Amino acid sequence: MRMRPAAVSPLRRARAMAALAAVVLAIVAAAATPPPSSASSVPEDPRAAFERIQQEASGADERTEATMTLLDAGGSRHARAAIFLQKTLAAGRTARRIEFRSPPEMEGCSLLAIENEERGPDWWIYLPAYHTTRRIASADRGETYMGTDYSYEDLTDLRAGDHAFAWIGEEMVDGVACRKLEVRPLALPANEASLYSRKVYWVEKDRPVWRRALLYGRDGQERKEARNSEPVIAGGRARWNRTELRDLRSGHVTQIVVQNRRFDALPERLFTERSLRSSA
Amino acid sequence: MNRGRPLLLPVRLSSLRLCSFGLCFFGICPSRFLRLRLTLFLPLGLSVSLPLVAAPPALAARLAATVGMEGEQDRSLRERPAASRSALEGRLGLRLEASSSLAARLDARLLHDAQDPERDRLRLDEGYARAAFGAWEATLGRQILDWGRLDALRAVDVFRRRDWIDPIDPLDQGSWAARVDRYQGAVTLEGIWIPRFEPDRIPFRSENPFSLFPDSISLPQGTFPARFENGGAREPSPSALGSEAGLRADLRLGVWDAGLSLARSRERIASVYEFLAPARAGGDGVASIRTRGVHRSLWMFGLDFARPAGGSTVHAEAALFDPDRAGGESPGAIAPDRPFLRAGIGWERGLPHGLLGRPLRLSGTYAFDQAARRPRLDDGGDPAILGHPFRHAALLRVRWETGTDVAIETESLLDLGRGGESLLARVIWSPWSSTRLEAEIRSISGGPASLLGRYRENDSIRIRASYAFSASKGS
Repeated sequence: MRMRPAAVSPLRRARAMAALAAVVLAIVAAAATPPPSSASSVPEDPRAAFERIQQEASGADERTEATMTLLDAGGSRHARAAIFLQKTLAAGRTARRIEFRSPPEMEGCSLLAIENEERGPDWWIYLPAYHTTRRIASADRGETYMGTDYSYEDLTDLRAGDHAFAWIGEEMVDGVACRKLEVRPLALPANEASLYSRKVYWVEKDRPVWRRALLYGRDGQERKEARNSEPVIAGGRARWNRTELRDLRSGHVTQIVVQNRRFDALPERLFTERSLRSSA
Repeated sequence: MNRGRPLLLPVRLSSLRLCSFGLCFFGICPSRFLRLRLTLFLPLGLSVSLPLVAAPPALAARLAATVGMEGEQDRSLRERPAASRSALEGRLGLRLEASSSLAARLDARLLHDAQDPERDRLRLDEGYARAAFGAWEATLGRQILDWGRLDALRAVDVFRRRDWIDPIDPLDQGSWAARVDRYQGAVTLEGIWIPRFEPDRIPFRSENPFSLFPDSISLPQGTFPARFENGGAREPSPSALGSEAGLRADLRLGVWDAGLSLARSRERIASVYEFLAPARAGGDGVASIRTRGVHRSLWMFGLDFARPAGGSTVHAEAALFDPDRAGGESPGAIAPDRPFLRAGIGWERGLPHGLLGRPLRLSGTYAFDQAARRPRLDDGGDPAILGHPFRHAALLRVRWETGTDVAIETESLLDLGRGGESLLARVIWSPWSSTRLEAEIRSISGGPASLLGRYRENDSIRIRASYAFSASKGS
């Protein structure tokens, strides 16, 4: 018996082509769409939303190389190269380390921040000129480091349990619809108290990231403004390639432009006080 | 040489003539000297990419080079001809990082001092390779070793070498050593092994006001000006531990940072200087004496900690020393000392809006040394000035960030035991990246028996100029 090739009807051919196209589209879409972590919606509960934002910003071992440019109101510029390291330790605590690579007189200056479950974070700073690592008292959390506008407090995540959260409106930022999230610290001992009396974040409606933040001092006046721009998806997470922090009183600005970002596993030894002596 | 009589004559008698200058301070009315210094760091601002020859792409290497030059000048305000000093310093730094677990570093300096050849040097500050394997990290080569937590006057910092040619600006020096660290969560263990002892660098030239040696000696023929030469350090006795070794554990216990140290070390500045050849006056009427330092072995057990307290940070450290005889065969004049204690406590406070709304940082350190250490020459000479630098000392520092580019620093070092102080005020201006201009005025005074009292005999102005640029090839 001779077998004859089965005739393929035009209808079946069209269906097959449609299925193939669907698969291809699905693959393309999957490649183009940010992974779930960066595409998930923002929770309605303001505290949950903020925790989701912090989770998006951390939660992975990350090494970022960036240039920091310090601009003052008089127009002077100071450029610095730095490496930012981030690691999630046991119990979800985040450890961060910043190491300066230039200018030459600042090479090797390092800062380490380790969050704690039961209390505020610990900070250490290493100054090569003194060959010593200094513990920073929590009362010094408002002090800025290395001439930047960032204080030690700015380097660590907020402890959600120590703050109250509320949505206070909506506003466009850089053409993107955002909701305004207000964060207020609860009463804490004086040496644990935040430098800020209030923070307002402009959170994108569709992504757990913020584009703008206004930080208010203890006197209730606007103190710093932060802006993120040049968004990217890196390592499956939403990141910004450009961040600017402005001191609204002095006009001083710290710009951070990311040069390179890697998500390799980082050894825990890099996040110890003694290891600050060694280059990361 | 008359070996039965004290060798040392009152040193720098001429300095006493200047007692009329200055103010009494803390009831001390020693000679007072003034030093002004202007420091200028000039930038080149160059950034050059240096391709790594034959470096495979997988080698995420970073090569960074730093070159700097520095000039300085001391000038007398009171005496003519002016006592002056000028120096140029070149620096070269290389960094090679193959990955986060493999790195090498080299830092070298070339210093030329037009007035003081003893300060001329080409030295390798650091030159080491570092490899990490999991929680372990090994560093091999020339490296600066530091223990302790205080700003200065550290008790447990037994391995760090210093260059004391200019004790007002002592320089850290590297040691050839192997160091192994194990990082295990909140605990870090560190082991150090130094195969060959190298002492601190001290001044020998009589022109240096900080020279530990007398200007003149008494010989049977009379009293002659003396010229001392460095004959090195007596080699330590062979030991399974090598020359120096130490173990340290750092622990993080809540808000406490604590360290435990155990070390077999040596005096960095000798207790005894033995004469290698009998002194005799030469044709120029100057007696040349070649000396060799004899450095006693020490066991050291140390404790140190830091913790926040009331908005400040408190640091403290204490070390118990048990000295041996020098090199196992001490000259007869030296008997083993009893164990002695060195300790210190420091306090630090940052005020973000401390003065006129600008950041202010304050720190203070107090340290004491229980050692009855009276270094001497082996012929019975007893230069009291050779005793340990400070019995009781305090260091106070203030840094005020007056603007983005400007900071004012003050530093007061007080010799509470023998009197004397070094007071410094400095203005730092950084108008551009890699650029720093500094102007400082320092007042140094002290009694004739104190280290600070040996400072130069006239007022002076120091001007320093420096520039640096770096080049890097990053991953």
